Amino acid sequence: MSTCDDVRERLDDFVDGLLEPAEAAAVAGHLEGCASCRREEQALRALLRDAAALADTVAPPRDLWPAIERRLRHGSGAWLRGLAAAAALLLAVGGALLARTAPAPAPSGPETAVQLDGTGRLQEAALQAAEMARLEAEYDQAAQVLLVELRARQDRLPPQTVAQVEASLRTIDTALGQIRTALAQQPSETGLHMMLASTHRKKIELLRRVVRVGA
Amino acid sequence: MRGTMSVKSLAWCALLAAATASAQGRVDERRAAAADGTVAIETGGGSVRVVGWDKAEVTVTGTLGADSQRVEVRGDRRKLRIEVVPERHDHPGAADLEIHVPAGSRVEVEAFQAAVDVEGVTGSVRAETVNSSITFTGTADDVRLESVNGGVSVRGRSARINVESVNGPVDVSDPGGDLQAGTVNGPLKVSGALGLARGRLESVNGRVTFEGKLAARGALDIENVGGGVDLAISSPADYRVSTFNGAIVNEIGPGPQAVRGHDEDDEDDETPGKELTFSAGSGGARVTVTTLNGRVRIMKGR
Repeated sequence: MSTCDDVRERLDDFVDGLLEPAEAAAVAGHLEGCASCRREEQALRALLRDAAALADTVAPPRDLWPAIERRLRHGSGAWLRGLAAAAALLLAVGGALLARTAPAPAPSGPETAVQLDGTGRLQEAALQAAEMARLEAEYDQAAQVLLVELRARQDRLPPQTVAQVEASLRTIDTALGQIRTALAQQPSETGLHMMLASTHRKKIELLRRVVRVGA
Repeated sequence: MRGTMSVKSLAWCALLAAATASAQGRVDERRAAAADGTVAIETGGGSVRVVGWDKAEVTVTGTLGADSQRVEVRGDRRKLRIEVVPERHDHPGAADLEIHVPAGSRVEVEAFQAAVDVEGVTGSVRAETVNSSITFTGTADDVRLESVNGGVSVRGRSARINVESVNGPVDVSDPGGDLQAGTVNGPLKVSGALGLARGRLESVNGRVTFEGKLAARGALDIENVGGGVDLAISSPADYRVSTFNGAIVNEIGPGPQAVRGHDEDDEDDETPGKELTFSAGSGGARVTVTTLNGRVRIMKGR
């Protein structure tokens, strides 16, 4: 195993400690004398550290939700602040990592629906839709990052487990679609907004848990 | 003669190997431990039974699986870590273990595919599995159990309970204090609640069932997207129930009202949805139920 290609093929297993002792020693020996491969190894280890930390940082803390729920229950202005807080927190905890790993999509359409009415007041329903769309975009970004992680690690999980997790994700996505359809008919229904947010949260928690297990 | 010796030697070797394997397969460890220390357990498969007792020590007994090297116990009185070390790094090790811990311990279990059973721990219990069940019996300060595909079961009046399973059933018996429980596809059942102070039950597609009593000023919030909700609350409460596409069946009070769309002058603008607000008895506790498609049934409590 003298070539850089040979070593790089084995780097994944090397950093995971999966090589036989003699093979691991050969890789270690090559790394000592090859700065280029050493950089590859360091980059891989850094990526794995980030990925391990990811599972704990992408989703909002669980105890954020009771506060959001209280705000949602206390009328329109307050619930908007709650959604904004949720979105801001998602950005704060996951933003840096998301920026590194995925291109941030532009805010989705409903934001442009925010308009001033004749008296200068913001139209309530449009603003609600805009805030919820922003929150959904943040959740979708977080879910995408975690899905990439899940794909990268799914060979460490039993195939049946992966199949069940994917079936659960489909169930959640179907539910999200149904809630969005209902919201299109009743955009001011607070309970539906809460249901949409909590269903997104379940998806993130499921992904985070499975990624952590596969780490 | 030479052949005879060889056969004997082989026989002795076989016996010795069997005895060695058996000795290696048994686990019998003992450590001093603080009354309120942390005991962290990590295993891949098999089973783990954790029992709280009144001694200031931790014992680990049981049998190693064929794919496991040993059980490693390290740490000090304040924090002990018990780990089943697998033969191969890419394959989880398995063992059937019974672990006794001081009752006031903080117990943390990570078990990939091992069934986890905890009882008699009064401190806190955190357990997580992927494909196997978790049960807790007793009264602890804080119980947090999570499984992906396995069932989760809690019995007893712990101060705080937080239980979740994605695909397995969640079953909580005799809770008081604070309860949070959730599933994606699995059924969620709460029975024998006695003075529950605060409950939040959520599912995406599983049926949610609640039976029992709430505290006088308690609160119970239930949210279900696709699954139904069955309620049988035997204490006074103020109900607020809403469903978008489902039905509401109230066996203890008035029926629901259809929800109209925002344009009250347009008869064609009626949107789906039903709401029901009423009080049972003198009221006091708050019950909120929201579903998208699931049927809500309110029954007389026992």
